[in-house]
Amino acid sequence: MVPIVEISELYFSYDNKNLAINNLNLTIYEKEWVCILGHNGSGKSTLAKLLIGLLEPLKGAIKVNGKILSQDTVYDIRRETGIVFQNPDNQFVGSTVADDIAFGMENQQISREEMKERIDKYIRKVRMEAYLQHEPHLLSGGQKQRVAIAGALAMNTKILIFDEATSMLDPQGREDINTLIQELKNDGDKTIISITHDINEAMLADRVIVMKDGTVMTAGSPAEILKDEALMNDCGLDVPLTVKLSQELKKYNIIDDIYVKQEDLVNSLWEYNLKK
Amino acid sequence: MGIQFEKVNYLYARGTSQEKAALIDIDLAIDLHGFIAIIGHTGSGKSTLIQHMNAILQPTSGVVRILDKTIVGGKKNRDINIVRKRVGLVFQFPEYQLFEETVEKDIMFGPLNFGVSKEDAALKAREALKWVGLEQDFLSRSPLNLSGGQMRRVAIAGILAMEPDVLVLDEPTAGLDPQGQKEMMEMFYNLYVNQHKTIILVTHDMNFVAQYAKRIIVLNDGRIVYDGDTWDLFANYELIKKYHLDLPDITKLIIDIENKLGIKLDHKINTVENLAQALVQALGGANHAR
Amino acid sequence: MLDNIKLGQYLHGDSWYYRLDPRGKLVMSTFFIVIIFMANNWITYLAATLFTLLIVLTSGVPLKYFYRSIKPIVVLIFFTFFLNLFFYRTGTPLPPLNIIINKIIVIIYGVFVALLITFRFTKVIDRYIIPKIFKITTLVFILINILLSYGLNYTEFSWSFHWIIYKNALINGGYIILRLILIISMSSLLTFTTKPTDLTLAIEHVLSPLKIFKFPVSELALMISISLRFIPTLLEETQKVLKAQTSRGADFTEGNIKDKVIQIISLLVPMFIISFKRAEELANAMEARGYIPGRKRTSLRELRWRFTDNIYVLSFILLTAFFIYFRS
Repeated sequence: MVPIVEISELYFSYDNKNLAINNLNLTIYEKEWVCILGHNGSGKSTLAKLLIGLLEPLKGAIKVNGKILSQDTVYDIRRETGIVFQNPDNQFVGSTVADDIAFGMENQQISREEMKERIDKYIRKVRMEAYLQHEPHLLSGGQKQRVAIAGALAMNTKILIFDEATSMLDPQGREDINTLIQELKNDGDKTIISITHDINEAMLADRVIVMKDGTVMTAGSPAEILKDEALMNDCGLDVPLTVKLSQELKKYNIIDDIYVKQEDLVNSLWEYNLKK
Repeated sequence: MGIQFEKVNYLYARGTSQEKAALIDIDLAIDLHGFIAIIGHTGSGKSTLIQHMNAILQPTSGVVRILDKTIVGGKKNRDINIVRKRVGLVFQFPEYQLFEETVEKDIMFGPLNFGVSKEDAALKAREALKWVGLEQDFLSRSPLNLSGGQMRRVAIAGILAMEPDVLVLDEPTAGLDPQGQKEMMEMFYNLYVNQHKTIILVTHDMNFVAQYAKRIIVLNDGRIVYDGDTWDLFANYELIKKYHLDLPDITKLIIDIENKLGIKLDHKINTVENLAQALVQALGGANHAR
Repeated sequence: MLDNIKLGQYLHGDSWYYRLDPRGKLVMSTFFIVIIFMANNWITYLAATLFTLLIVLTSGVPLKYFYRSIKPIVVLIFFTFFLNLFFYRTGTPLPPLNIIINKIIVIIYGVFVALLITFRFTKVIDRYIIPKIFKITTLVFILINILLSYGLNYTEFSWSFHWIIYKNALINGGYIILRLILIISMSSLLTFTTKPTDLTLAIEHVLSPLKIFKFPVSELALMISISLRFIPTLLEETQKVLKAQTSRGADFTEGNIKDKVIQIISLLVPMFIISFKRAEELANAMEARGYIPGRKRTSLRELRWRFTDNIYVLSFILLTAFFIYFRS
């Protein structure tokens, strides 16, 4: 596993009094899907902003793709990282869908022919090809987020960050985006960092990192982390329903493990039913 | 009394090329003291419907009766401002309506608009702050220096201070984290139980609907397609499929188990404990062998 | 309400005029405003009118839209016309009119102006103010009448409203009306047939020589295009805040001045906060996507200068030549 993001002893404060990021250490590896989980105010969105150099840390180092983040390298690092923010409206720069996807590429001075090619490719990827000339106020929140994803993909970055990209969407929009993230993961050429408080999203990731009070509480596979009720409650989160049901069924000796994924729980019940 | 809709229609962008019927032949009766959920897809007319409940929107045709006030569609209705005191409408992301220098002043804005004296309004502000679970020392703070969840509570207190009988909430938990969502819903449930408010909740979150609302109204393309018991709806798989509705997590899990194991379970099971017991029974009792 | 938001005046359509390069359209529309002032006799005005008519009729834009864009300034046009009648005093005076006919004309004019003012204001201002507007209208009407009758009855004061119409005043007034209508038609045609985004791009191109003087042309163009893009969003937002405060008992139509001020603040403060938040998040998003102010960027949108654009420009040059030759 090759590390792509390495953060060591990171500190940050908005007001020079309270630390929003407090001695944070974290390594993210190439092509993994990492989910950063935490309640509002745990510092997870601040971390995203620090990662792409929108905020400057008090102390500590961030290394992205081998480069240490500094005034000189920040523009190079932004070329390696695409980000999709929370509010669909506030990141739509272009006057039409095509213009918006092009915005990042225009900044990188990519030729018009190349831009057209990439727009054509990625608009299909996010299934928005019917809306190429649409203006933003005619799109739903989910559609705008899909455009934002296409815009990030078009920049051919190694890392893709989703900063609570689904939290303002309706269930349909949320599902669309989560499906898309899964597809991107399956394509296998991006490092995906999704920041969320949605445990259903965390369940799908390769690794879950739990944040609290500006630091990493723990990290591990979703199966390990999400079934730890004490930890989850401590971080203002809830365990999945599957975990609660597993605990109950365990009392009756019907299953003997705690399952996080619904599929696994149902399969285990199915096996029990066959054996009986 | 309560709120009644009789053959209510509402045309959006009337007289333009974009004219669209947002509400079609709505008949609805809501009695005081209930906890009701309104669900439907984005664009189904939910927002339009609740904006009729405090006469922010007035019907194109039909009649809306709000408490003792009758609003006739297509006519000029006078003195409707007063119904807004009795039916408090909390919009989505209400924290954006805060504008005063202090929390106290902001909460007092509503009461003062309805002619309450300054002293009484200040009292009501204190009271309302208690209901939303914030300490009294918030009164002198600037509403703009609070966390997102606190700001939302202050905004809701601003509505509660008007002492409405009915509280209409549009996606009140949007953007909050799980803990914040839970606390917010508990707060509304408390207002329902202890303050005897009527709560009308618009939401996409079926888990909360299942947990709190007894009655559910489903809107689809501007029409009411279901109005009745919440768990009856969730157990009605045909309807759920027909209108592409979401289900509570527990019901989804039940259906998943049924399909895989080929057994039948009660779709109205609403707690994990009950589901576990039902499963034990369906699978032939607890396993003592191991 | 703000239900029916339309960005700019762009009308969907297609014709040779739509396909013209926006740079050519923009520059020529401006050029037209300049050269129209060269016209000063019937033959040059006839040429200008026919020229405009030809473009307008073949542009594929329905005539009613031109009528709509001229309508709001009808007051201004007639006002200018009448001022002209009063103050333009060269050439042969027309035979003086009968005093009674004079009076009738004056009264008709008064009613006309009063009605137009009423009509204009009632359209924009809330219906609650209508009675007030009627009072103002009546007042304006009476004032105009007194003023004008004064000028008529007491000849010693007639220096201001000396009711002798000169022939040239009439002709010149006619030219003024014609000129305004032509200018408005041409500029409306530009906005009717060009998307705001293309227009912004054209402005960027046309102003690009200013880059030599370090004038931030591209930044300005981006600023315009982002502003245009956010207008519908902010209008929607305003409506939401308006509704939210109305739900808190704010009444934006009634109440005394002190209440009104608080209610307007209750609308303005949230709008400012929302706009600032948006601006900040947008700036973050732009920066994250590699935007560096002042740095060279490529552009997805491309402007194509075709053969028809040459002809279009040439036709304006010919018109200018015609003006120079035939003007008196």
